[in-house]
Amino acid sequence: MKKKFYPDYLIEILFFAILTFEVILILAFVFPPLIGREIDFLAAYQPRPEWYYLWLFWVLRFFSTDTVFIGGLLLPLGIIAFLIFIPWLEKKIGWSLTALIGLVFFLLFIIATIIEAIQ
Amino acid sequence: MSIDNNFNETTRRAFLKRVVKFLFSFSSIFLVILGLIIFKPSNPRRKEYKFYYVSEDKIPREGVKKIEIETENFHKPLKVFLVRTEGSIIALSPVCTHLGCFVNYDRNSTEFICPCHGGKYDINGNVIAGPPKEPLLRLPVKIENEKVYLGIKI
Amino acid sequence: MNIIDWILDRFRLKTLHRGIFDRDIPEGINYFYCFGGIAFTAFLFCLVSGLFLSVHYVPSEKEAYQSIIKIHEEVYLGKLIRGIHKWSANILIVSIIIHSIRVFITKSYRPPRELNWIVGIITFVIVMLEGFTGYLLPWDQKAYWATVVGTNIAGSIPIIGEDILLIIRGGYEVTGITLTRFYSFHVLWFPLIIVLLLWAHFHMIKKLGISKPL
Repeated sequence: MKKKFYPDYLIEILFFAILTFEVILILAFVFPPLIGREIDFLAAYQPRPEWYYLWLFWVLRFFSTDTVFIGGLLLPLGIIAFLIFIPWLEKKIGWSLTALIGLVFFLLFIIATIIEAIQ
Repeated sequence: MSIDNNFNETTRRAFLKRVVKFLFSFSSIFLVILGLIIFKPSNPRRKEYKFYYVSEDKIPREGVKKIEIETENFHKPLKVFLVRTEGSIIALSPVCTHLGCFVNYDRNSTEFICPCHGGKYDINGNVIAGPPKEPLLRLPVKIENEKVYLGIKI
Repeated sequence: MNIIDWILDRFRLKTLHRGIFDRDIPEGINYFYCFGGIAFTAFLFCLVSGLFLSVHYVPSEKEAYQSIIKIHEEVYLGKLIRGIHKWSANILIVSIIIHSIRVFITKSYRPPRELNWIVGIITFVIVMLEGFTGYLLPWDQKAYWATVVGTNIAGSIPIIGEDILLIIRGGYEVTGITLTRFYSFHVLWFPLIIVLLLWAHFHMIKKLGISKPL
């Protein structure tokens, strides 16, 4: 029997929507949001971005003052450009090579996030 | 006559289509420029040094001391490092020249350490290690009638 | 004729509606195909909890931090709503990443769906920008310094850097002006763009269908 969107597929979608809601609710109850410290220019403070920017924060360590924009701006823009041109790039150089480049970027994201998080 | 009319109609249509395209592209470019003009502050505050009195007990006899300064423009007190080396007093801004975090003074190693990316400066503000390239900004210190005034631009 | 039929008829959606609902789903779809739907669910939760939060939040330099405390301590269910907003944002980003990896592995980005892939990437970028602008709004230490560092990156571009920094911050320093414009982007500009992009995303899925699994 062929699956129809309604009701076969829609009920699966709704099942996962409710599951997502439950996961969000559990997380919100178990790890409630915290109120940070008030802005204070006197106390020592270690700034940290949200987890999905940690990798970029780590990368900036390797760029001195006058080259910060290369690591902080050109690198993410390059990754975005790579992602956008994947359909055409894949035609040129093949799927596995494209996947390799993507994997390098993904590993950079994962490893840099872990390194910065455990510090 | 009808052929002539048809011809007129096609040229008219082609012209109108070009007008429509022009209007849409013009208004989108116009909106982008308008946005940039509106977002940019019309007169960003000029940075000028204002001098604040520093009482005698806050000035270090030797080495580095962190002082608090209440400014008029900023609602919260700011921190400045006063350093006395070989008799002269210099004031160092705590803003790391790499990405603008505030550096902390480490007494054990007598270095300024930036908590963001590990930049290190010596007590004169020169870079020892890490990504920063320029030394910490030296704020002007004025001594009048044996009273010390510190210049802050913010 | 019940009320739903009547509304659908007046919108002249009756036949179109049947077309959407009756369309076939290709065989061999696995559970990795549901991460797009999870991302959309998380986005809806962000949207709704954000609407509730915006009622109590004050985007001003002096009151922003106090209003967050008020949301936590005085507003009924305020802390929970803030928790839902935060966690659905995290789940949104994680599920977008998994969804895009799934699309890449199943090669669903190939023509004629390449424009849908691009729309998805742009949505992802805007969602990341939502994360960046939303981070400043609590106006605490974490928020302030993350924004100082983040905007200083844009300020480090040679020649035009200072103008860009002024455009982003609205002044030389991160102040209440920055907070107001980040608030505007976080609650108006970016959600509006995301809704438009998602409409395009779903419209193309509707027209082109779900790609056949390999």
